Amino acid sequence: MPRSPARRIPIAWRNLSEHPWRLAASVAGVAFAVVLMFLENGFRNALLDNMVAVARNLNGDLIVTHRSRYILSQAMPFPAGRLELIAGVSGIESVHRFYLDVHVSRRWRDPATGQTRPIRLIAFRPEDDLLDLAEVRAQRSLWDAPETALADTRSKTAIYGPIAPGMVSELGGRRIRIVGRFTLGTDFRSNGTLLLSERNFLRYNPGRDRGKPGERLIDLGVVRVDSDVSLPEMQEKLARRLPPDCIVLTKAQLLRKEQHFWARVTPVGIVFDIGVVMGFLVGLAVCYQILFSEIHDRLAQFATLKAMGYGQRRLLAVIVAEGLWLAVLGFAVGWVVSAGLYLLLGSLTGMSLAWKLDQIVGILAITVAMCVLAAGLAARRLQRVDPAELFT
Amino acid sequence: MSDPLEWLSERRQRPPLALRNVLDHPARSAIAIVGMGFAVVMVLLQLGFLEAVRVTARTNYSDIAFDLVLVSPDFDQFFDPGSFPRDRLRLAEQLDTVTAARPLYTRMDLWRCPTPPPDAGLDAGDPFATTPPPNTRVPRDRNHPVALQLRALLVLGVELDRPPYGGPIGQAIDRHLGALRLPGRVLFNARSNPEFGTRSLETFDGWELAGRRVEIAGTFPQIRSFGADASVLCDARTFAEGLGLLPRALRPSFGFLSVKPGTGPATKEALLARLPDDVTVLTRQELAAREANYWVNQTATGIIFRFGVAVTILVAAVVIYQVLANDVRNRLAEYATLKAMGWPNRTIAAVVLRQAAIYAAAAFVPASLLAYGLYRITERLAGIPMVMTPGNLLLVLLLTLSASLVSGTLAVRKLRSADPADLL
Repeated sequence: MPRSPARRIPIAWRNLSEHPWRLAASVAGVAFAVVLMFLENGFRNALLDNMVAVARNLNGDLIVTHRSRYILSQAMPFPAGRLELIAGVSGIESVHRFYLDVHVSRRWRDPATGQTRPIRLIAFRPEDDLLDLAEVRAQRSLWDAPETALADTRSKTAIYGPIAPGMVSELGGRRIRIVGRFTLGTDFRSNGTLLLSERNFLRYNPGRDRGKPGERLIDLGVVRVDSDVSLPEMQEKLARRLPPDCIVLTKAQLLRKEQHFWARVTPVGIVFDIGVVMGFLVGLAVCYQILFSEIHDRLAQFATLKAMGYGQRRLLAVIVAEGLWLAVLGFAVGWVVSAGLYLLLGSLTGMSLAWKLDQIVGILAITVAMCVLAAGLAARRLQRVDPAELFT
Repeated sequence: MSDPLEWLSERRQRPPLALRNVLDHPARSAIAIVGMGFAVVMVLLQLGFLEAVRVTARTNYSDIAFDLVLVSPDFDQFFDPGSFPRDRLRLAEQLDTVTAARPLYTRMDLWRCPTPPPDAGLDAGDPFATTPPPNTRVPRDRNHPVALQLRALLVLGVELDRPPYGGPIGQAIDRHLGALRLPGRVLFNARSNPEFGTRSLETFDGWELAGRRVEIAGTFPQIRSFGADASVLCDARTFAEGLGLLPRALRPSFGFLSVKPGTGPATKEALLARLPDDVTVLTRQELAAREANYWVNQTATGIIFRFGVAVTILVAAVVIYQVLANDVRNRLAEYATLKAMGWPNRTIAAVVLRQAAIYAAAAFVPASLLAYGLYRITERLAGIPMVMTPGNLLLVLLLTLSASLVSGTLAVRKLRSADPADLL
C-alpha cells in the first residue's frame, strides 16, 4: 500500500494556518461559545458550591439536624438536650453544638453610615474546632475573648461597609470587636458572615439560651465517631436513640440534600442549564460557518485532492481534523478568558467560582462534539465536488 | 427621459440587488438568517432573565396604590424592611395633605406543605415509618404516614378596614372580606410554587402557618419573586396571633400613604420634620429605585444575569460577523464583477449593508417568536416571570442592526483593496 501523502502533510493544519488572522478570528468565535458555556456552568456550580460552603467545611462525620430543616439556611433549631441522648453511645468520640443563625434577627451596624444590615452568624466553642478552616483554627484564642468575632473576607462591602480587624461596631445593638478574618463566602441567601464563640453567640442571642444547657436552642449537632466504626450502622443507632424531631445525616447526605434542593427547587439552576444549551447551539452555528467557508474557499484544492484519488472519507477526515483543531484551540483560549472572568465575578459577587475536573472535561467534550458535528454538516458540500468542473 | 420605457430601462440598471442576492440562494440565505436568529434568541433570553429580576423587584408593590411610604430607617428591600411603631401612621394621618395611611405587616414564616420533602428518599428505611412522629402530618389520601415538609413563605398582614392593595389582590380581599375577619383564615397566593400546595387546595385541609392551624379562605394572584417561593395574606389579627402578639402590638413594615394631588414633595418634607427618626419617608420612585438597585446590583442573582447579558451580546456580535463575512466571501465573484463593471466600492458596500439589514430583519421576527416560546418554557420550568418588554425588543433589534452594519462594513473591506481580475 502506498504511503498516503496525508500522513506526511498535515493538510488540516496547513489549511487553517495559511491565513493567521482568519484563524485567529475563527478560534475567537469558538472560544466565545466556550466562554459562554463555562460561565453558565460556572454560575450553576457556584450556586451549588456556595450554598453548601458551611456544610462542606463541617469538621465531623455525622450531623444531627431538626427533621424539618429542609436547607441549612432555614432556621429550625432544636434543644441541645437531644445531643445528651447520644453522647454516651459507644463508638462515639464526641458530640458538639453548632449554631448557624440565618434568621435575619441580628444586624451588623456599618460604623461609617450607621446603617444596620442582617448578617449570618456561625458559632461553636473554639476548642471544638468544628470548621475545617486554617484561619479559624489559628486565631482561636482571639475570637474566644468576650464580645469579639471573626469576619468573612468575602462579606459584601456594598452592604456592610468594609469589615476589618480591629474595628469596633455593633451586632444586634451590642458592642462587638472584629479580631480577625476568615474566608468562607457568600451565597444566594446571605451577604456576609461573622464567626463567634458559643459564649459570645448566646450573649447576642439571649433567646437561644433558655437557662438550662439542655434547653439551649442549637442548629446542628456535629458528631465525631471512632475511626473503626461503620458510619451507616452508627447513623441507625443514633437515629433510634433520638426522638423523631431529629434526623442524623452523614456529611455526604447533608451535602446531597442541600444541593438537591438548590438544583431542583430553585429557578436559578434551570436557568443556567438553558444557558449551556444556548452556548452549544451558538458554538455549533459559528463552527459550521467557519468550516463551510473554509471548504468553499478551497473547493479547487479539494477537487484536486479528489482527482488525485482521495475518497470522500479522506476528505471528510481533513475537515473533521480542522474542526478538532478549532475545538482544541478555541477551548484553550476560552478557558483562559473564562479564568479571568471567574476571578472578576468572584470579586463582584463574593462567591467563589471553582474549577472542577468533571466540568472542564465535560465542556471540552461538548466543544469537540460541537466542532465535529459542525464539520460533518459542513462537509456535505464536499460531496458535490466534481474534479472535472475544475478543469473546464 | 419622458419615454416611460426608457425610464423603466434605466431603473432596471439598478435592480434591488441586495434583495435579489438574498432570494438568489434561498438555502444559503436561510443559513445566514438562522445563524443571526440564534444570536437574537440568545440575547433575548438573557435579557429576559435579567428582566425577571427587575419584575420581581417590583412585583411586591405593583398592586399597591401610594404616593409616599413610611419605612424603618434600616429599610433595605422588601424582604428586609425593618419595622416602625404603628403610632407613626396616626401621626402621618394628622397632616391635612395625607388622605390615607395603610399599614402592611410582613414576615417570613413556616408553612406546612401537603407534599413530602424533596429529599424523602433519604428517609428510606425510616424507623418511624409506622408510627408518625409528632411533627408528621398524614395526607388524607395515603395509607403511609409521610413527613410533610415545612417551607418558609411570605406572610402579608393587612388591616381589613384599610388594606393597601388595589387591583386583583384588592378584589380578592374584598371577595373574601367576611371570611378573613374570622380568626385563622388566610388567602393563599395561587401563583405560589406548586410544592406549597397550589394543587391541593381542594383536597387537603391540614394547613399550618407558624405551627398553628389555619384555613384557606380563598386565593389571590401575586407573581412569585426571587425572595419568596410562596405567600399568604391575612388580617392583622391572624398575623399577630402567629407571633403570639396582640394586634396593637404589631409593628408595620410599611405605611403606604396617599396624598392630595400635587402635594407629594411638600408632604414628604412635612412628614420628615414631624416624625421621629425611627421612621423615614420614601417616594414611590425612591422605593422602586432602591429595590431595583438591591436586586439587580447587589444580589448574586442580579450580578450574574447582568454578566450573562454582556457576554451573550458579545457572542452574538461574533456570530453575526461570522455570518456576514461568510456571505460576502461566497459572493466575492459577484462583487468583483460589479467592480469590473465600474461600480464604486461605496455602492457595493451599500448593497452588502442593505443585505445585512434584510438578514437582520428576516432573522428578528422569527427569533422573537422563538424567544417568546422559550420564555414560556422557562417560566414553566424555572417558575420565574419572563416578560418580553418592548424596550428589550427594541434594544435587541437595534443591537442586531448595528452589529450587522458594523460586521458588513468589516466584511466588505477586503473588497476595497481587491483587484477585480484576481477575484474572478
